Amino acid sequence: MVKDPRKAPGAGALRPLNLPTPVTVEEDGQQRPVSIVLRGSRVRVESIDDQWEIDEEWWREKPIFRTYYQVTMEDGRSITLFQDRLSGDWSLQRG
Amino acid sequence: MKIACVLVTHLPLKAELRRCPELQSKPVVIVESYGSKDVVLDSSPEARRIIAGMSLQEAMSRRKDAVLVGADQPHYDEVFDGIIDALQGRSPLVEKGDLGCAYVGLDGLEEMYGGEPQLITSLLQSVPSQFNPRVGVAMGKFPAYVAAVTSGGGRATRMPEPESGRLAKFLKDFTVDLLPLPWKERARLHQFGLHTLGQVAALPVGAVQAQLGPAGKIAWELASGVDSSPLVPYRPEESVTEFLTFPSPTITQYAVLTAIGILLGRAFARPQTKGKYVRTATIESHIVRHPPWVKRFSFKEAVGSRERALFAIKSRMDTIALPGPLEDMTLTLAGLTGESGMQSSLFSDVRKREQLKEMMRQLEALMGRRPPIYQIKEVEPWSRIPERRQALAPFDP
Repeated sequence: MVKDPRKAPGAGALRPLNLPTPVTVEEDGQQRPVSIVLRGSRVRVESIDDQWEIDEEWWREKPIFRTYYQVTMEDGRSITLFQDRLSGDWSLQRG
Repeated sequence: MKIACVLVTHLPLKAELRRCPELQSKPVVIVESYGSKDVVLDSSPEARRIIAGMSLQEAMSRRKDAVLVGADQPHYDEVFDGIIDALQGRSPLVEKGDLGCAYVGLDGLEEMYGGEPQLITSLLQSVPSQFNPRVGVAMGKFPAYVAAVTSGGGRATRMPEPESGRLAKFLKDFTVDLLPLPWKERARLHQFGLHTLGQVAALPVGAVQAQLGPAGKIAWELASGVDSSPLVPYRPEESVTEFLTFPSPTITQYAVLTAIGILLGRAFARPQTKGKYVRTATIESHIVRHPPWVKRFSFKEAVGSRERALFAIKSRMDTIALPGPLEDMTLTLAGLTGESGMQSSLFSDVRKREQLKEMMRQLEALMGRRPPIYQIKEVEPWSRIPERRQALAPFDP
């Protein structure tokens, strides 16, 4: 497990990779993504190809509870994103 | 070993005068470009107060009427190769020195030519008279070079034998600038107040070596008239050359690559390259109002076909900016071999790690802190949380 060093990463520290990138998502009634704002323009989700959840570290102060979606956009791009089930925020992240 | 130094001074200027006789008795200045800086490579006696190495700006401020000629290095190399060829017809042992300087082994040739004077005359006559060569004869390359420097054009000077002690006496008043040392080492000798060969030879060898390292020992030995460096005969490289002229000067990458493709096709169709592989390709082009453009491509692996050579050149050409419109193109394939493949090292991994360590040390010295170079490390590859699986760790080879 990576320990939180509680200091800003510098040249000598480990730097996390593949951090989530916040994104604006329009949801449907079942809280599934309908469209995503990518580089300033809204792109419609063509299909949801896969869906999974992770529920980890519930014993910590900030538990991790996410629902991931693997989606295909209307322009053919394949994207992975998740919704933080505690805050409701959406983020892009490679799965 | 008895050696003759055949020296053609101001070879670039003489080559230009031979090519363009109308430049005779004019203040000609040959200019070479180093990136954005133009420097005088050579100049005619009429261009007084202009010396080699001077910036073009300074030269022009001294002679506003100077006739500027762009240095044509491929032409000078070609002229010098012609001189070397001619000398190889006189002796099998010819070493190619700096531009305009060749060393010829004389042992065993005197009887063939009927004596030393006849042999030296033959060497002088082998070089076209416009180049006004001078010859120095001695028992080593450096004394032979000094003898040639002291000779007049079309004449020869013979150095005394080193054992007689007269050689060191002869050398003692010559400047240390004649020593075949890097400029920095010669400058250091001047800084120590050592301006002549005699001053260097008068010191204990240990003292000179302590200051200049191995170069100091060489300097001391040469100043004392001892030169045991062997004569390394020049072996001409087998090569294939093809040439074409563009219908009009061209600068487009497409046209240039097409021309390279045509020349490669012709070169690989020649009997000399049949069933063989080549290691280097050199492209030379004349450019409108600009010095010739020369580019050498060394292939990682020897190539045996037009397609593979063109592919390798094409990928390099993408990053090359042409200095101007090309008028013609000469392609030379060299390093002809019957073998293909790349030689790999038994300890390549170790060497690569050493090179990386050295690179990191240099970067750290340059930046004054640990360089921000990272490598991807697996941290928890099994984790379901994506950002926990890998991390960037400081690069430590």
